Amino acid sequence: MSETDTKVSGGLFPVWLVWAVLAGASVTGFALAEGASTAPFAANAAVLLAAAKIHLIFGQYMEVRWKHQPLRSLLSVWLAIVTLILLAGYWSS
Amino acid sequence: MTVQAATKPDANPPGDSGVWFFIMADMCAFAVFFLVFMAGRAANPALYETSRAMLDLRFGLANTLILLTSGAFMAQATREAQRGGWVRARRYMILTLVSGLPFGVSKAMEWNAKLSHGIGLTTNEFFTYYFVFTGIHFLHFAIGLIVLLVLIAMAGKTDRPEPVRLRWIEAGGAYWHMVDLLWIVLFAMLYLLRAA
Repeated sequence: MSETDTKVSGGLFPVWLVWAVLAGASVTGFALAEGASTAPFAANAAVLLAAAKIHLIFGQYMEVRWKHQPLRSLLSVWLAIVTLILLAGYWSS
Repeated sequence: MTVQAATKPDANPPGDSGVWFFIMADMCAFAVFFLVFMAGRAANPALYETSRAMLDLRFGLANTLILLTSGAFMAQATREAQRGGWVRARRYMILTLVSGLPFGVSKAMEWNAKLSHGIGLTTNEFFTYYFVFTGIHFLHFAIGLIVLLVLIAMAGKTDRPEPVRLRWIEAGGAYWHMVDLLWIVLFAMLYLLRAA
């Protein structure tokens, strides 16, 4: 394996594995919302699955790693705030 | 020496700092949209739930899967460019463009279905936000398509230095993934938040 291969693959999973996880999480969120699960469980699961997907996209697709500061921290703070907005908004209604 | 190592210190994120500034500013603007929507939902949950139930979740899921697939091709294009595989990178960007186009078709079909049932921008507060937010997101998607066309053309220009081409592809990829992740939030917020 060349140095280039090592660098590109370092810390990164195969793109199609990441895609499968993202697609699976999306279908799960959809199935919970459409299915017979209780509404609060489905809604909270949908928000948390969305947050997990975005976290994966930051690291695996955008390739922003923790060494890329302060950008990685800013993205993580943004994600935490958006997740909080959705969960707090849901529970206060 | 790797292409990346030749172009920038390892501690720098992929792409261009100016593009990252734009992406962060855009994401912050969308965070304000999400806050406004959820505040409205908290004030009038019955209206929002009735309106949400009128959306077709299958369109939302289809749009999500389309953008995720297109995003995967873009991620692969970026990795190929980082390895110096410009021909493969260009092919993956073409696949990104082609696999992303159905999002526009699906969105047009969804909007048309709503409008043909008499549901529009002024129907109620929920649908005002629905059309405005998805419309602004669609504008980002359309800009992303133009960016992709430019990148596809640029990837083939061997007279440009490789570091410049790589920086452009990484920056364009970051923008395309932003379009993807903003839709993920919109999908959860507009379609999936079923009230108790």
